[in-house]
Amino acid sequence: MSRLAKKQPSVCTSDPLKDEEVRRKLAVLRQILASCFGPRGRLKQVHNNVGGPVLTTSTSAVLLKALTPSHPVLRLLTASVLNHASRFGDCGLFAGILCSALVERAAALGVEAATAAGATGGSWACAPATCSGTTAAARCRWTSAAAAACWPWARARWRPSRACALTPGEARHVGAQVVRAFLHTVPCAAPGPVRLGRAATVAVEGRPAGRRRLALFNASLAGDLPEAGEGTFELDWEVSLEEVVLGQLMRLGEQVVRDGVQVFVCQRVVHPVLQQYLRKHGVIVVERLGIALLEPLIQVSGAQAVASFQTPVPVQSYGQLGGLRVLRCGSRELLHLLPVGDPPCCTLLLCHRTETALSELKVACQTAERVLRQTLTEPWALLGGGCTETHLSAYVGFQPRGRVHAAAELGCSRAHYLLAADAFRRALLAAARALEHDGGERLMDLSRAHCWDVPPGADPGPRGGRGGALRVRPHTPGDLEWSPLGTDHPPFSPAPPAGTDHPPFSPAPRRHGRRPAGAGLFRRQVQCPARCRGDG
Amino acid sequence: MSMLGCTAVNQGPHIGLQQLAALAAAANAFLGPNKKCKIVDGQESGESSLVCSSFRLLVQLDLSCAAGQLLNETTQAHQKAFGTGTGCLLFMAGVWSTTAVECLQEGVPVQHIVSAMLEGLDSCLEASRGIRLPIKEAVRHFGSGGDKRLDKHRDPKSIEKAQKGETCEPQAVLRGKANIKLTHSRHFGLGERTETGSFVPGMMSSSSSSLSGKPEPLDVTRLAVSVSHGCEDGMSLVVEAYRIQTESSRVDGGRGMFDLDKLVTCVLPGLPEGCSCTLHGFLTLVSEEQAPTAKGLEGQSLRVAVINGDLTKSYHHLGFSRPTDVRHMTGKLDCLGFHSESDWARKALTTLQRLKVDVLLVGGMVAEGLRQSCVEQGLLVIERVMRGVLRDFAETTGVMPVTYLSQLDEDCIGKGARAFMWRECGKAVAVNIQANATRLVTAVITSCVSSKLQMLEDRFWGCAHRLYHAMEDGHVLPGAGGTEILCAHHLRELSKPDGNRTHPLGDSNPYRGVVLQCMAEGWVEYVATVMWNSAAVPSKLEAWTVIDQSLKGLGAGTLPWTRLSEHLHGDGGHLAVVYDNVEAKLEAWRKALDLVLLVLQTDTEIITGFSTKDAKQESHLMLL
Repeated sequence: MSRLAKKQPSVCTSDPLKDEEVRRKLAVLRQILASCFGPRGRLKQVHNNVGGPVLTTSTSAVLLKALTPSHPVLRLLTASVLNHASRFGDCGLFAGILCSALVERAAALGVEAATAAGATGGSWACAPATCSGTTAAARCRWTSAAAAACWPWARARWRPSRACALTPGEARHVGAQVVRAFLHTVPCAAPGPVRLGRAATVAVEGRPAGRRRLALFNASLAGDLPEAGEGTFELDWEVSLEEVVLGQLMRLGEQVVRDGVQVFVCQRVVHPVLQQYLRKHGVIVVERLGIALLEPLIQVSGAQAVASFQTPVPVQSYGQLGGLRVLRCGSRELLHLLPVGDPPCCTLLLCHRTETALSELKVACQTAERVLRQTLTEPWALLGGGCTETHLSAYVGFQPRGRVHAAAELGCSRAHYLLAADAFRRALLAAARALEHDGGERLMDLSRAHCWDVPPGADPGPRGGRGGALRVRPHTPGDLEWSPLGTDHPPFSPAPPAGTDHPPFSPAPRRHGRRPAGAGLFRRQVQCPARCRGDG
Repeated sequence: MSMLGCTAVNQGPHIGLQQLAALAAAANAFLGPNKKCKIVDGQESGESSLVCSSFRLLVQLDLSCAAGQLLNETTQAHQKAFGTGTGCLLFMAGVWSTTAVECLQEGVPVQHIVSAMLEGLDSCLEASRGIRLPIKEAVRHFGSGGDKRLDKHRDPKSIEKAQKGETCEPQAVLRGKANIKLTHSRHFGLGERTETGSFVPGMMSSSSSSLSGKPEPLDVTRLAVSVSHGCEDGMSLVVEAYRIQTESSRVDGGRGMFDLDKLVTCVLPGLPEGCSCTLHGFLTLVSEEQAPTAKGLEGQSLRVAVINGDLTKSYHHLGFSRPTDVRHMTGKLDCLGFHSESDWARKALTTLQRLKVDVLLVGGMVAEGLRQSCVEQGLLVIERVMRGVLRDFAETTGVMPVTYLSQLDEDCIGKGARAFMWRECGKAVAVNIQANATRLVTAVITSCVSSKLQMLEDRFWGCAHRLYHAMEDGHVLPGAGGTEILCAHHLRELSKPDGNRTHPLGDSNPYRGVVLQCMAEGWVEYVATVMWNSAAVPSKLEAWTVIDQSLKGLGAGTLPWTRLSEHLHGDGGHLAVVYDNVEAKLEAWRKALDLVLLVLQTDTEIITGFSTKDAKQESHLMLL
């Protein structure tokens, strides 16, 4: 019997952004993302209201994965931000904030959507001119000539959120370990194209060294039947399926012992009978390795993961280990597998007080590692702390006057084009303003378009005077003319920022982090504005 | 369709911080040596339980709020790592939440609260480490510093009094102050403490052994008394356990360390609390039907087998997934029951008999049929044995734990264990199984009131961990609020404008003084609560006055802790010298502050899996 259901007609909604409800939801999402942004970003607690675990985070990849927005527009936005975050491992929050601010402002303009998109694209097109090329205004190059440069750079980049609950001393220590782990993954003096290795992260709450042969399985050796697709097994009553499978496993064990394997590793569970047999023959058994550690182990040992226990193990799939030792970490005992030679692999062992903080720390460390890797492949950095956005916004605010022909190309009036370009400029400033969370003011200087914070209640100093503003930004020379971020100011063409005068990797001023110019930076084909920065 | 509701919590007072403060306030009565129990009553289930420690309380409560769950997670993590100090953690989380709320109300920006509180704690941790005492020195203090209670115990009259079950003076004071209304049962409450008597003989034996030229046990006994925190009966069991462990390792030639892995508890309901004791080896209660079997094995050298999980036909190891869609076929008609339970049990018994197993220790359950046939064959089966015990048998008898009976062979059998009848408990029998040269010690915890058993067990473990950590750290902190007074004093000094600004985050924080002042009050509140709970003062207000006076009396600069405790206790000396663990306490503070700052910096609570219907009813939620 089949069930009949009446087919529902599809519903078509034109211009969903006109809907007040959608715009309100978009604003909520933007507020959520904006309040997470930056080193002092606020945390979010995500839970399911029925006693499930509480997730405390300010990282876009973790936060957005936990959300399931109701409207397709929001789902599109979260999906593209997640995509960006998974590709670059960083800058998800910035992408989300800028994206939602752009959509919100463009929708509120009352200008044709095509015009808004065109003008935004046009303004966007001038961004690479500002931010790329060797004469870049807002970006500076770093050379990897000195390994010592790596540490100040990483320190400026390494800003674990408060959800990691680290003391300054602990943060320094973990930061140093991350850099050390990263340096381990850089192969030394390898001919041909350089391939970076892996840093496996193990989170926690002796045997003598000597070469050992290793067998690695990713099939379950728990004694279950391998998945045989659809259908039903028909078995004779007297045949015990478990015994048959166990017999196969034991044959495997015999072969492994015969081949002189000393370490037997399985991604999943190993049957206790097989374990007992192997241990009796002096083989060290490691089960439940997990998928995350499989790939690094393959790199360390050179073994190939065997996916079946029903056929003999090919001899070439065995790997080699330089040695083994047992480490104690708190209540846990860990087996340390030492490689033969010096493969670019290492393990980063992270410990923390609570589970919440540990999971956030793990994300922070992985982000930092990815950023360091990207820096190696693309050695460019943008000014941090919102300065790139203010610089770009000043540039965009100044530029349209010279780009009147662009309006004609788009087939819209000049006024509409300017409106749309202004919306883009304001969206950039909104992203820069999102770094301030304590009700303080953000100011921008009107010559180089740098920005800085003034804490609430503090006197920013007389306009154009040295005053409080200079106390915060001691590196800015001369008298300043400033205006609060987001207010109107006369258009000006920003001078190259003072940051580029510095030799690369001189210690960055406080509150003035740098960020690498990640791949996909300011490219028009990227759907979400893409950029890398320490916002998670 | 799954929806998402969001609610902003930063409008008005911070809800998360208030939740933390409210939850922590529920555990105030657990601070100090005289703990007042609470009854947690499940309205729906109709069950109620008696709790007397912070982490048990949190386990019992229905924590639906996110802050509460984080608090529970933090507390459990601390309990797992240290086994003591959760009361301190919970209390400090509560008072510092209040501090943060007060600062928010005064308009201090979040970042400044965070930096000032971090600075305050760092500086206090440093100051506290400065006043810690090496345990040897602490014990010496104990002897010369006039510990009246120890002297009192040495007084034969008071020992006699204690042995008769009469309460000593401090307890009498306690009884007068106990203001809990326990209507459910007249047996509840800690007033009737006959077990004081059981402590004194243990102490005396250790003291007398010290007189005969063995200084080591004496040191530990004195140290134990100073970290017993009002739980002398539990601590006497711990000291006895330590003595057994050191003696058996001396025979063995091993190091005389206190090993918590080799300590297990056995809870026996029905016996009076005076029967609590410690025994060398593994003690377990054997049911009536197995009692003759156990008696038959007494005194023999036993062959032991160990099964890790359950011993049933259907049990499989973790990670084994049963094949689905399997159809069995047969050509015969007489094969019914081929794979039956009884057939399996018969085979299992044959295996055990072939290997001449006398005692079968099982981590999980044993199939009913198999257990019956084992009883008939004179084979002792002990179920639900703790992992630590199984591990100890593996180390001492050479038994190899297995998952399935089919794995058993001669190499897996452990040899050389012996069984002794300890005593009869009703119809059941408590059997003591000792392996050769084992360091395993069982603490037997007894009570006529079964609801008190959990509490007594918890307190025993608290004592064991405190003694263990004191020996592990090698240092102790002045207790009874002494360290906290110092911290309060230190913060007040630090909050002055000319205070020492060493913290990197400390500069350019205009609100530093305000926040540090508020934070110092948290510590004063802690000491006041301890004093009030231990009935040293008639009211909390008076406690505040006393503490304020002693704080004023203390000069600036570093303080010798003795002077501090003089200020605190006067020269009445009715409070014994009390010490706290160093790492457990300092880590509890750190965790408490981390939690408060985590909640403080959270501005949004996001609830997933919300249906549209629910969201419309709750107007304060924003649907995403």
